[in-house]
Formats: sequence, structure tokens, C-alpha cells
Amino acid sequence: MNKPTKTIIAAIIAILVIAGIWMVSTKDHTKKDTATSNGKPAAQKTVTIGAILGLTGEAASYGQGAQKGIELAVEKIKREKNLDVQMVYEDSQMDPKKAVDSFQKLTSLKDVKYFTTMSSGEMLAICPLAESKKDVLVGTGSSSAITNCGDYTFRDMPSDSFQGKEMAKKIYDRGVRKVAIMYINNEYGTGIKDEFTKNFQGEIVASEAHDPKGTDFRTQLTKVKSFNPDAIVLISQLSEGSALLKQKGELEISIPIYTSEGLKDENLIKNVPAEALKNIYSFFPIQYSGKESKEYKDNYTQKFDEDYAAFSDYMYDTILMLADAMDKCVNPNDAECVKNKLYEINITGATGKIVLDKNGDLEAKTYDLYTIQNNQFVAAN
Amino acid sequence: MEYFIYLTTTIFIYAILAISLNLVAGYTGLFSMTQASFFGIGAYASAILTTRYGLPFSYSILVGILITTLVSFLVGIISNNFKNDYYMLVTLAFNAIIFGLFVNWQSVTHGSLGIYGIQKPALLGHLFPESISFLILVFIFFLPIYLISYFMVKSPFGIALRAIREDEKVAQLFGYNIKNYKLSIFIIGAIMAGIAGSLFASQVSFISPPSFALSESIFILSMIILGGLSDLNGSLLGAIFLVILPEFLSFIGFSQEVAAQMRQALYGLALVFIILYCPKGILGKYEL
Amino acid sequence: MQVPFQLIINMAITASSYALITLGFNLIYRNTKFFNMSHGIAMVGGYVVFFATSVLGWNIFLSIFSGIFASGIIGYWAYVLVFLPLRKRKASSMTMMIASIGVLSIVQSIVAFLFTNKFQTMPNDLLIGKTHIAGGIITNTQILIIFAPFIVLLGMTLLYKKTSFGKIAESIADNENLAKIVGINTDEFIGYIFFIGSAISGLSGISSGFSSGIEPGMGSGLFIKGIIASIIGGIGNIRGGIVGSFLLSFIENIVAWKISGEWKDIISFIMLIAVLILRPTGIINEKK
Repeated sequence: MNKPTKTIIAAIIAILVIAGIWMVSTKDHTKKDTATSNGKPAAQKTVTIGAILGLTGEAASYGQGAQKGIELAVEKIKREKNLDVQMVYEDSQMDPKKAVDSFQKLTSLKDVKYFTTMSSGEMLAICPLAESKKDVLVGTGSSSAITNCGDYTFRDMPSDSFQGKEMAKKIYDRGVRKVAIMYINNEYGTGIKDEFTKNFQGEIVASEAHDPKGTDFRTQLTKVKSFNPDAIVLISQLSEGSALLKQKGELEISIPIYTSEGLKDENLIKNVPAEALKNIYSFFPIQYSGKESKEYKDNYTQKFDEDYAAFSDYMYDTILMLADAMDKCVNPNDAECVKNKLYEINITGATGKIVLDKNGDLEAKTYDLYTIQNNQFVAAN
Repeated sequence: MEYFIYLTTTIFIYAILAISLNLVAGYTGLFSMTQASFFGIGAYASAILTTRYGLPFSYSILVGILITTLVSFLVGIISNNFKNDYYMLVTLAFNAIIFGLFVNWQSVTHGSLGIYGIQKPALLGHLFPESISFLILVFIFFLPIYLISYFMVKSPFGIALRAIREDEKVAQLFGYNIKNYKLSIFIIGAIMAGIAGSLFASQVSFISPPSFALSESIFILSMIILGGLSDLNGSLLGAIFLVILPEFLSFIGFSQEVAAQMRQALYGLALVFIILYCPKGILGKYEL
Repeated sequence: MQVPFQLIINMAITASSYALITLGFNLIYRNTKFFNMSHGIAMVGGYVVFFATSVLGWNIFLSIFSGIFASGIIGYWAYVLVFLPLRKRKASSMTMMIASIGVLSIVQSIVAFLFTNKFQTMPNDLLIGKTHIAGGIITNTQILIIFAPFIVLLGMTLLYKKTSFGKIAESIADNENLAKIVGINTDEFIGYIFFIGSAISGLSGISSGFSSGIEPGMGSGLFIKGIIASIIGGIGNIRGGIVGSFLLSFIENIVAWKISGEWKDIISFIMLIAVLILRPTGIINEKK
């Protein structure tokens, strides 16, 4: 590279660095002004909530669905409470490391004190940081490790330790004595597998892990079949689970399969031929079917012209939780007060009654069993 | 302001990484594709020792150095038998193997669950806010590493490295024991990468295997090719560029979708563009 | 433990996906002598088929044809834009390898941008029905997938033996300078090679799509195995690639069977290093 080009490039970098510094050091002061500038009654208080979601990346459908659910919550709050909720979104691609970056950005640049996020990995990564900054984190992560993760962390998703336990009990109650476990090799899969293994009273003849993004399960399926289990316990996520079930169908394996909640997903029915979906039972936290849930689902379909996205209702509820706690505080921006009020929360959201224990966890929830009939998930007996 | 400090800290950590690879690749011509593995070893050593055993940060750095030395010794000895593209291939394989160990050796690394809650080491009591004192700590590591590298490349040792890069056979004729030189610089580079890793673990407070996969090694390579091979300031420049530019893109309002993919496209573009049109990189003294 | 025939079938299916990659990869290597890491852009083939059948509603065979063609074109463009200029300035094979890594990153992010990172399955199966053999089951589509590399190999062999194309390709592979002197426009010809090689690898993306599904990252995962298979069988050796594929698939599946699935990947990379150390020319020795 010759001298002039070098100089130009150096100049570009210098400009970028300076612009970067300027941008990041200018805090966002506008939020305090919206109350009066919008012509709303001055009594309406403004709060900012940071949502760290997987808007792109593998789990984009979940993240984008969550975003829609959150929007609905914000509208509902605007109608019913004297609270102006401003959302700030950051894309983490459901990657804990990016979630940490996003958290750092939001907490220091925009002075955000309230956060919501979806996955266990992200919650676990952010939780200690939120703790040290005394920021409140409400999310839908299910890993059992979140229970003890911090004082300022709450969730409305039942802990996996429940799911693992429930799966073990319910499967045994149905007469299954020998199982083979196939689980995805990440924090979600390993967490549930561990809980299941601890609690299952029958015999576990095999325990096979598969990599996230794996595509070839044939040999593992063949191996599992050779052990002759009464049932297979499949703990996995949508893309891996779809490929696995499709291949199971091709191999004509007819052993009943019990799946974790990650696979109770309409897309599974789309991706996998019906033949392969016989004898599949999926666990899912008991679906609340009360009026709040109906209201949410109808609003969602009305506004976005599609069925509500899985787990978006849980994220919707995290915002309702925060708003409820904020409403009970003189100053909604007082994170300390909001935190304390969250421990006392007692509302009914789109996912049902929300009451938290001293760890910020949902009191025990039970899981329902679903099976697939006529290309739909229906309750199993 | 905090975020600016956070970014600057990230830049210095990656600058250490870039320097570590530049010494091995830019100066010596060994294009190792496994630098991310040593980065990871340092990170895991630090994470495990501080969270599980409550040992102070300084201990974990020392243990990290020990482990990276051992592993890089083994990897280096085997890789030394290969040259150029085969060297890249072999080191790439090691990256994949060590990554696989991070994922599957669950009793030690917690596998994909990762290790969270990594604290920053306490420095200077509470004189400064935590982020600033951590930045100072990172700088305390960066500066000596930079200076040591500076004097190393100026010294006869550095000249030998460059001779090896230019023409191994001739260097051998002149009496240099090239195997020793190659192994030594490989280990030195690995140790530096490990130190960067330990700092990284404290900075992000949560580590998991994907941060140390092949794509990360490629990222480090992009930094030094862009900034310039065989030039220490080039490493710093490359780090600044490739860390800040994605942030810049998302700031100036590219939609989230675009920004995310652009980050990856950016690394690839940097690589291809530089090699095609500007093979010395910005400040480099050696071209591919 | 009695090994069921099913295991053999499974192994054959995976081996064939690898084999298709080795065919294209070795073809390109023979004539250009560099490791084209961007060979993974094969995924484009899978996506085109997906797009054509589900969105455009095309007939499946037309879609597959366009998928193969599209992959070939992408490979050709990569050649014209990146590899040809590098060849013209006599870049080293290592330089080209690094550039190809950049190309892979770019194409991957573009595909992810256009089609999102979601995992999709092919809407229709190619051939309906299953066959039962010796206690194992295989779908008819999978039978086709297994035969695909052999069909391609047959096509290539005919091409080489019966046409001048083969003679020219071999003379370039043998000694490019000599071929140039004789008046062959090697640059242009290698462009055709790139097209054909990429088209073949596009076929592997398509077959992998039918076999499991498609997502932007599939190109790198699958094709790295293909590269390993190529090297095990003897880099540049077309028939060797097929042998290597079956050997690799065999060992991977044995490991999955006897130990457990997680260690599959690590074993393949250990095999790569082992082959490179012990028998770098690969299993099949080229008759020179």
C-alpha cells in the first residue's frame, strides 16, 4: 500500500474512533423529557426497560416473537396504568457473550435499570452483572442454576429442575421402566438430563448427547434402538429434534418418544413427516387457558396477523410483572423498590397466576403431556 | 462513559491476542489456526480456578501460563513438521480438537453450560470504579507484552525469526536451529494468548466453548492481516478496527438483522480485500 | 454386540455426502494445488432447491438442476473475483487458502442474511418409499444419495477418458507451465474446473438437504469433513477421496456406536493429524 492510501486509511480510522467515542459518551438524556413533550399528563412516569433478545440468529423466531409479545404488553400498560414504558432492544442472537455486551451497552450508555431476556445462558451470564449493578432482571430462562443466581433476578418460567423431575415421575407412572435419553449438548439439554437422571426410578440404558447443529443422528438412533428401551426421552431443540425425528421415521423406529418442551412446537409438525410423528409425547408447562391467555392470543393474532409465537406470552408477562411492581413504587425508577415488590407479586398474566418464592422462582408448576393427532398438538392421556 | 471503557478494555485484550499471533505468523511465517485454543485455555484456567476454587486471579494467570506452555509444546512439536498450507491445516485440526475438549470434558469445563459469575480481580482497593481499575489491569499486562515483543523482534532472535519466514533452508544453512526457534515463538505466542484469555474471562464474566472455536482463530488472523503482518502497531490497529467497526455499524442505524450478518461478512471481506488489493495490510511489512 | 446392517447403511449415507465433496475438492486441488476452504459454499445448492420448490413451486428435477448450476456459478465467480487475480500474481497456495477462508465467511453471511439462520427441511422427498435390506431400512431417496458420487465419478471418468477435456485437465495438473507453453489457456480452463467442482459440491449440499435439512452453517461443518476425507484418501486423488470418505464415515460411526456420539468430531480431526504425520500422501498412492 502506498503512502497516500495509508494516510487515507489512517484518517478513516481516526474518524471512526473519534466518532465512536463521541457516540458512546453521549448518554441518552431524552427519556426524561418525553413525559411533558408528548402532551401527556405530567403525572405519567417514564421508565426504560432493556430487552436483550435473539432477534437474528438461530433462535430468531423466538426472539422476534418475544419482541411482538413485549409490544403488546407495553400497549396494555399504557392503557391501564399511569406508566410510560420505553423499550430498548438489543440483538444478542441468544448468545450469552453478546448478551453481556448488550447489557454493558444498555446499562452504561442508556442507564437502563430493568432488563428482560429469554434464554438460560443469557440470564446466567447477565445475572451476576445485574446483581453488582443492582439492576433488575426478569426472564424466561429455565435452567435450575438460575434459582440461586441472584437477588435481583426473577423469572416466570418454571425451572428445568421441575421439568426433569416431572418427566421422570410421569414417564414412570405410565409404566415405562427402561429409557434411553438423547439430549442436546448444551446448558438446556444437560440441565434437564441431569435432573431426569437423578429422579427417574427405572433403568436408564443409554444416555447419548448430540451437538447443537448436529444433523446426522442415524447411528445414535440405531444404537439406542439396540438397547430395546421402553421409551426414548428426547431433550432437544427444534432443528436438531426435527432432523432426529425425521431420521427416526426413516429408520422405522417405533419406540415411543417423550420430548421436552422445546419440541412442542408447530414447526415440528411442519418439518417432520406425519409417519415419524406417531407415538410422540411432549411435555409442556401446563397451558393456562383462562381469559388473560385468550385475550393475549387474540390480540396477538389481531395485531400481527399470525398465531402467537411460542414463549412470547411468557415474555409478555415479564413486562407485566415489572410494570405491576413499578406501579406499587412511588418512583418507578427506583430499582430497589421494584425488586422488593417483585418478591410480593401476585398477578395473573397470559401464562397464568404468577407468584414467586424467595428465590425469585415460580412456585412449582406442573407439566402437561401432549401428543400429536391430525397434525396438531392435543392433550394426551 | 462506561461503555467506552468497556470497549477500550476489549480492544486491548484483542490487541494482546493479535500481537501473540503476529509474532508467530507475521514474523515467523507460521500461520497458526489454533490461537483461539490458547485463548480459551487461559480463559478456562482463570474461570475454573477463581469460581470453583476461589483462588486469586494471579494464581490463575500462572496456572494458565503453565497449561498453555504444556499444550503449545505438544501442538508445536507436531505442527513443526509441516509447512505453509499443511501447517494451517494441522493447526486447524488442533483447534477443532481442543474445542471439542472444551465442549465434551464436562467435569472440568462444564461443557456448553459454560462458566458464569467470573469476578474481576480487585485492584487498588476501591480507588477507582471497577471498570476503570480493570482497564488499568489489562493495560498493565498489555504494556509489558508490547514492549517485550518490541525488543524481541528487534533482537537477534527476531532477526532469526524473520530469516526463517523468508527461507527456512537458508536459515538452516546459516546454522540456526530452526526447530527450536519455531517452537519457542509458538509457545511464547500461546502464553500471551492465554493471558489474554484470562483477562477476557474476567471481563465478560461468562465463558462458553463457542467463543473459542475456529471462527475465533479466523477472526484473530483477520485482525493481523488487516492491521499488517510483521508489525506490532499493525496488531493494535487491526484490533481497534475489527472491534469498533461492527459497533459503529449498529450505531449508525443499520437494522439489527443487517448488522449481525455484516459483522461476519466484515471479517471475510477484510481478509479477501486486503489479500487482493493491499497485501501488506495497513501497516504491515510482510505480504502474503 | 452384533452390528446391525443398519449401521452399514448409515455409514454409507454419510460417506456419500463426504464423497461428493471430495470429488469437487480434489478436482480443484489437482489443477490449482491449493486447499479451497470456500468449497463449503455448496450450501447454495441446497438453498436454491429449497427456494425453487417451496417458493417458486418448480418441479423437483428442475430445482435440483438449477441448484447444481447455481453452485457452479458461485464457485466460478469466486474464482474470477478472488482466485484468478491471486493466481495471476503467483500467490502462494497458503495465501489462496487464507483468501478462500474469507470467501467462505462472506458467502455464509450473505446466505444467512437472505434466508435467515433458521433450519429448514426440504418440502418434498425425491423418491417416495423405503426399502428393507437385511434387517435395515433405507429410503429410496437415500439409495439415490448413496449412488450419486459413483454416478458423478462415472461421468467424470468418461469425461476424462473420452474427451479432450480430460487430456487438457491432466496436462494442467501435471505441469501447468508446460501446458501454457503448448498454448492452453490455463486460466480459462481452470475456470471451467471451478465451475464443475463447485457444481458437484452443490450436489452434496442438496443431498445433505434431503438427508437432514439446510441451514447456513451446513457448508462448513459438512465440507470440513470432506476435506479430511480428501486428505485421508490422498489429496488430489479423485478415487482416493471416495475411499477416504468411506473410511472416515466408518470410523466416525464406530466411535459413535462404541463410545458415544460427542466424540465423533474429535476423532475425525485426530485422524486427519494422524494421516498427515504417518502417511501424508494419503491412503491411495498416486501412480506417477
